[in-house]
Parts: sequence; structure tokens; C-alpha cells
Amino acid sequence: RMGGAPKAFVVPHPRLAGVFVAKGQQEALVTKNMVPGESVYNEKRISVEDKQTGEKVEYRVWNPFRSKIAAGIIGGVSDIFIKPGAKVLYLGAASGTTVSHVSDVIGSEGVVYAVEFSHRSGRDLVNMAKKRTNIVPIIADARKPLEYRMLVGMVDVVFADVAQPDQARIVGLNSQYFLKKGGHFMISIKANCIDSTNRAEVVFQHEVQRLKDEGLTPQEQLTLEPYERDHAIVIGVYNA
Amino acid sequence: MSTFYLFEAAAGLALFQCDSVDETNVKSKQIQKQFSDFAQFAEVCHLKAFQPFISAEIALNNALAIHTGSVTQELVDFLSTNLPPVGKKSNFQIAISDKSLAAGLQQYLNLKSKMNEATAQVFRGIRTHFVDFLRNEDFKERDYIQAQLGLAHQVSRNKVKLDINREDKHVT
Repeated sequence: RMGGAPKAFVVPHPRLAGVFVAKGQQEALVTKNMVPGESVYNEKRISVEDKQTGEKVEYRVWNPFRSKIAAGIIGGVSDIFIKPGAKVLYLGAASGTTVSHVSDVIGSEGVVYAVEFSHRSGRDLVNMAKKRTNIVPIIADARKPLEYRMLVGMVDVVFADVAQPDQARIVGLNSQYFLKKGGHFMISIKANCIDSTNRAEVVFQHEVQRLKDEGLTPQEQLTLEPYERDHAIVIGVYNA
Repeated sequence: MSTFYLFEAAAGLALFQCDSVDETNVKSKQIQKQFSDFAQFAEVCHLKAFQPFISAEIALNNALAIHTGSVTQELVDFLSTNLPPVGKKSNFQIAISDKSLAAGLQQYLNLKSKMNEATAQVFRGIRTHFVDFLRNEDFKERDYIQAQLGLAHQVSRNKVKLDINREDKHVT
């Protein structure tokens, strides 16, 4: 090819199934677009040719400044358990920017139950879910999982980004009803949402203890620097 | 005494009969193992009845009632058809996942309800194996998720719509 930027190419992430890395001028985390030709939140798309089939495959750039899961992956988390075919309960879905990447990762065999309380964000979430049929949009209070018990099945992973002081309790409650035994949880903790008077490390420590009290056993913890300040992501296993 | 379990799914209402659960020990390794295997769980828990929602409207109506813990006509019909008759001699209890719904059913049908650590574990088992229980109805995993998907869109449309009305109301 003459002129222009060097062609981008995409390789599978070395550890995480369903996640990809675009190499080119700049490296970027990407997911395979379930709805080719469309961006969800104006994110960049990269189209590459599959060497074997000659078909075009489109990927969407997953921005770690806009997604805590992406920040965790780039930060080197050992597993996210969200993989092709997985069933995920996502608490605090907001407008669904990260949910759309989760939808890409799990693919058509997976399902993500996306819970958001705010009707304003919920409206965007519902509209996005119309085109992505592996997203079950739920406008409800994550503190009251019984209210959406008809809409949710047993899941492999619970992810929470609810930024509430009682988030450990929220994850615990939802896990009691919907997280299978030996399933995994992932929780994003924003220190000053829990307790703004203590140092972040102390707050994380307290949260880890609270998770244990809920039957959730933390296995990995990492901070989301430099993408988020005083945030940590904690990953672990339920009731195993 | 018999124990029935009311399980509400997006596809319809289900009633299970689970009489031989060892309630003293539900968190033990042995029982947890039994609950995670369908064949073993099916030995202590049977599907007694399943009533699919016959229209999207009825499904929506029931999903909205669940939010407020209220009793629907479909639920009353379903339970009165499939439970043993209620009377002085009746010897059964029904496990309900939600307290306010249990209170409502007590009022409507005079049912003795039950809710504890053991029933919560049994409900987890039912949710885990629900599709397997409905195998004979030619109900597959895909159908299960499709029903949730359709109903979730209906419910959220309904909620967001209500919200638009509220936001559009001018303060006078």
C-alpha cells in the first residue's frame, strides 16, 4: 500500500479471551464490534482484514479513561472472567459505554443484565440495547434485586460500579440471588464515595473486609492509576 | 408438611414442590453440591406447574406488580388452580421470595408462607436449573433469555415513558 498511515493490525489479548489489542502507530485496547459500522459513544473504530477469510472485521477502541474495566485490563489484572459466552450482571450501567464493550466481549452466546437506576442514563442504555441483543436493560435500584428477579437468571460474573457507600452490601445482596457458586465478582471502588475522611488505602482495606463479610472472597486488588484517582478494582470469588 | 415454591420467570409463573430438603444443613458442602447438580436437585425439588404468560401485556403487568409486591389475577388463578385446597386440614406452606407479596397472598388466599435461609438456597437452585426443569415443554436456554430480553425492554420502556411525562410537566 502506497502512502497513508501504516496499516493497523489486531491481535488477541495475551490473557483475556474476547479482548483484543490493536497495534499500529499506537497500541489500543479494542473489542470486536457486534454492530459493525456503528459507534456507541463516538469511540474510534478500526477495520482490519482477516488474513484467512479476507473479510473485514471491525473493532472499537476501549478507552481506559472512560471505562474502569479497560483501566483494570491495561493495569494488568490477571482475569476479568467476562469472556465469550459469559453471563454477566452489571450494576451501575450508566449510559452503557462500558456495557457495550462487555456486550462485544461476551458475544451472541453471552448475556449481560445491565442495571441502572437513573432514568436519564437508562434511556440511553435502553436505546443502545435495541441494537445489541445480548444486553438485557433493567431500570431499577440495585439495592432491591427482588424487584428485578423476573428479568435475571443465574450469572457467572457480577460487576459493580455503583459508587455508593453501601456498595459491598449491594454486591452481596445481588450475589445471593443471582451469582452462581464459585462465580466471580468485580467491584470498582472510589475511595471518597465510601469515606472521604480516610486515606484511600484504608478505605480499600475496609471495603475488602466488608466484601468478606458478604461471602465474597477478594483475590486481586489493583489501583486504577493513572486513569482514575483513588480508585481500586477488587476481583474475587463467591462462596467457593 | 409439603413446601411449595413460587418462582416468577419472564416466561411465566412456576410452582415447585420441594418436600425433602434438609433445611438444617443447607449451607453444608454436601447439600450445596447436591443443589448444583440438576439430577440431584430434581430428587428433592419437582416442577409442579408452569403457566406461561399468554401475552406480552400480561407479562408486563406481572413484572410491574413484582416491583410493588402486589398480587395479580394471574397469580391468584395460578396458585388456586395448582395448590392443594386451603382449609383447616391443609398441610402445606408456600415459599415466596418477597415479603410484601407473601403478605398480599396471605390476605387473598389465606396461604401460610415461609421464608428463611433454607428457602433462599432452594430458590438459588431453582434459578440455576430452571431451564432444565422445563425441558419437557421444549423450553431452551435461548427461549429463557429471549423472554427476559423482551420483558426487560417492555418494563424499561414503561418506566422511562412515565419519567418523560414527569419531566415534561412544567412547574407553575
